[in-house]
Amino acid sequence: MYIRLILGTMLLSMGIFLSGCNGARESEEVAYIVAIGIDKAEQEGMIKVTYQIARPNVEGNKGEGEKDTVLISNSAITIAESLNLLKATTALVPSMSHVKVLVVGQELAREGLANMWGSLKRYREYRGSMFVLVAKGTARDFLEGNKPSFNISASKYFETMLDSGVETGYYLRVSFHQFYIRLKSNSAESYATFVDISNLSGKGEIATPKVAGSKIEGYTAGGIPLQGGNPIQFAGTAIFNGDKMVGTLSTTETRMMAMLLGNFNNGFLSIEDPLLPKKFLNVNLRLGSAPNIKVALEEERPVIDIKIMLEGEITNLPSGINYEQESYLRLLEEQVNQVCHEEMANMIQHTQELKSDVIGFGYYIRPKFTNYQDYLQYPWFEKYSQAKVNITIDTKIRRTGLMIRTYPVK
Amino acid sequence: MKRIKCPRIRKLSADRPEASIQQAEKELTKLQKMTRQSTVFGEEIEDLVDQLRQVAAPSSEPFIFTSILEENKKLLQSIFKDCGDIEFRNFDAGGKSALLVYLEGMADTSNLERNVIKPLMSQTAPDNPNTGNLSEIFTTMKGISEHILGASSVSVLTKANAAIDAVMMGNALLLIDGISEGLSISAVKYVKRNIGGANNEHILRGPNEAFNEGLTDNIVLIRRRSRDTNIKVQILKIGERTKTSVAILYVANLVKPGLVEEVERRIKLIDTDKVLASARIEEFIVDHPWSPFPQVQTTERPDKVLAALYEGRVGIIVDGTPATLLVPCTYNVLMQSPDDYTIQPVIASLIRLTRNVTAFIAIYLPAIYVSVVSYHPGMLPTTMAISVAELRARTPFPSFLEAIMMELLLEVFQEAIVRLPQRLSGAATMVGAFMVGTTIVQAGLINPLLVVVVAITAISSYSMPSYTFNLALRWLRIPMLVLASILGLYGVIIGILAVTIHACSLRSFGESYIGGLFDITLLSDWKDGVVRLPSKLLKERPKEFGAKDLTRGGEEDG
Repeated sequence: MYIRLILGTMLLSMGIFLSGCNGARESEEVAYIVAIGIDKAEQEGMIKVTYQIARPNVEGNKGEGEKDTVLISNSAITIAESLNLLKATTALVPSMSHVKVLVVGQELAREGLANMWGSLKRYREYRGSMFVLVAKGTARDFLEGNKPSFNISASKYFETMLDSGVETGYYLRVSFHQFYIRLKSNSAESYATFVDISNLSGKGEIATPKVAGSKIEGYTAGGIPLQGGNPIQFAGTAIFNGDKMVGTLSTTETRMMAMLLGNFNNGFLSIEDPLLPKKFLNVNLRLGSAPNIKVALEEERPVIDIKIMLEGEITNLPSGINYEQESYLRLLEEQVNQVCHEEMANMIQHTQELKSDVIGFGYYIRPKFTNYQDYLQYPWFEKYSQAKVNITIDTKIRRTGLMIRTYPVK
Repeated sequence: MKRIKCPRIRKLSADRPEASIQQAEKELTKLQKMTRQSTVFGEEIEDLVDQLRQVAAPSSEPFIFTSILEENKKLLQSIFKDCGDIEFRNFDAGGKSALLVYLEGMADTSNLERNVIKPLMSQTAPDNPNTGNLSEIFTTMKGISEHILGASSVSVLTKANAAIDAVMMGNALLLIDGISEGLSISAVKYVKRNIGGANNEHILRGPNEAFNEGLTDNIVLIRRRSRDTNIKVQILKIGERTKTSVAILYVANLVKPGLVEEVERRIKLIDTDKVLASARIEEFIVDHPWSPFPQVQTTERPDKVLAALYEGRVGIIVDGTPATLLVPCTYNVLMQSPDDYTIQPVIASLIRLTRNVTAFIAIYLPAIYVSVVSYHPGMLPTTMAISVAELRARTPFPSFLEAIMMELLLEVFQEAIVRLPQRLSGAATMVGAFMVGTTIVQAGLINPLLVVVVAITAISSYSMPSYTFNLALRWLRIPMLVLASILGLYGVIIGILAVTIHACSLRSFGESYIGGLFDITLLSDWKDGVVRLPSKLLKERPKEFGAKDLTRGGEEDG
């Protein structure tokens, strides 16, 4: 009995004095950082870090139209130093545990991010779950321009915004952890969500023209014709070669990329009516199965075979042609196949030109090598740009929407 | 040469008058007188002692009965000296003088008049044809009880102790001149409460009768529910002075071998002067008196006791307390309520699962709150973290202190409401609701989120079917809170481990307190454990309590 008591006391006191958390901090003494933006500073070799910090609405001191966050920027040589400066200049202790997004200015991204990524990954306070965005202008401008039109907090805005991207496939969300893994991988290149501020003029800026048979053009962030609402736009993907950004993919291209990554949940496709090319028709598409990708290593260049299975539902048939019928349905499916094929081929060619395997075909060639050393010997990233790509798209229209028969407008 | 001057020798009495011969003689006679008196006293005391132990009474007995009634009466009177409520009733029975001794208020006088005094006094008629026979009958108490008395329950007593006990229990003691025996006539009737509804364990459907203070009534409540001769009742007398009756109830062909003997052994080992409540017995017989967990199930419901008996458990009823004890007791047993069996099994299962979750909440929720808010705000959803910061910005104290203050307040309210007279407790509740609900929050002393957390915790602990278990949960909350405030979630995990290990190591009459839940060999007990299956499927008794016959239906004696 006494042995137990003594042992228990010893274990408990050891537990208390030799270990445990000692970072207790009352929540009102903490400043929650919601977003971090990194830009190139005016001074040579320095970076400008912008922190968006949540400001709790304490009863009584909230003025009319006051924002629930504050933006604080400082310039420093490293991110760690910038954090020091932030701690030194704010009354509350900044907490990194609620950072939702990490925004990188395009200029800095094109110069390379490797130097910064280390401290963000290694220091435990930064979360691997924060999302990486690349802003077309500067990160600070982007964060400043963010004015959610609905009554939600900045943190909630980023969360829901990046969730809804999955719905359309027009932009992809990538967590810092995923970004980092791809940065250090020799099978795939990193990508990040591309964002910008729109001038709200309502005028668009086409990034990729529509392909034959399609009715829609691709935009990148800032180019979507928009009037009213929150001026910031999430659209397209910034793609990297190593730690340097090399280019962007437009919305349509991003959608094809999502299909190849197996992330494509669903999205509308507006195509020309195969029998009446002046009219359009709409189908809602989703992936029927995971993409089937095979890479063969041939003498001079690798050959990539892609098989995509799409399932769809007709959502609009303005022409009145009875596509619900078996024979017409084939035509419609053919049209979808053809449009997707071309868009996908264009997208892959685009990445090949930029020498960036963002889809990660590199993962599929690994089984072709007997050991890892052999694989490392193989210059995949160079070979990728020369690769031959065969795409097969198989679309099945499963449902015809809520109507089973169409008649033309009389 | 110097002459030594000798003082003249004088009489001592001249110097000291009290040393004179006359004085000494006077004193001497006084002393002789006292000695003589004390001898007389001594003789008198000796006489008394002789009277008390006329025929070498054994040391455990105060005296033994003689055949002379007057002496017996004197002996009894010396025992019951200054007991004003003892009644000595002299009367004439068949030509012999008789004495009836009983405790006023405890014995049923009209019963005694009818069945004892009247038949005995009517035997005096000289023209009784059976006179010869009668004198024969009047030589033994057995004869009297068999032929004359109309009382239903009598017993012949030869020992004085038993006779005294019988009187103190409320029986009447009959003594007759010429017979050196006493006859105890059971005619107990005293003021007691009627059988009422269960006050503390109210259930919605199902029997609502509850035990009251009388031991015999309580046993009757159980007997009436089952016509099973295998239900055995063993009565022990505990308490050096109160000699309280303690009944051990069990089902002879079900109970785990050795369990009754162990219960009996532990109860017999109790060394105390008084037993006023069953909780006293409980404290003596539990395995770990320092544990906050109740290791004996307490109930005031006879149906619950009977159900437990048929699971192979043992019931202990203490005279004077409605709260009956059931052993062995495990966590599982405490989590069950009779209501579980009166509602649909799917609903009962859900309720039981909820109860287990609330038990967890009742201990750990405030600790988790404090640790998350002050150590790991990163675990909260961002919007919640910010709103916690907003709420906390107005309160001046650290969250730990806030939580302790709130707990203290809660305990004070609970105590006040329990202690106050019923009419006032409503007022106390009102004051509490106002203070906690609005004023404290408005005054910026405690943030509303914590009020919600503590309120949920309190409600959770109230939902326990066992009040003693609820108290254990309330107690455990405080050390958990301290651990959380020192060590954060790490401390909470240490606390959870410590509580779980403690509960696993607890043994109640050989059964693990909580270990049964995790024992794969007891998997079939789950049918009536965390969930409850329909009664059709509950064909087996819980294995945990080691009943001799595990199947409920069929041949019980087989």
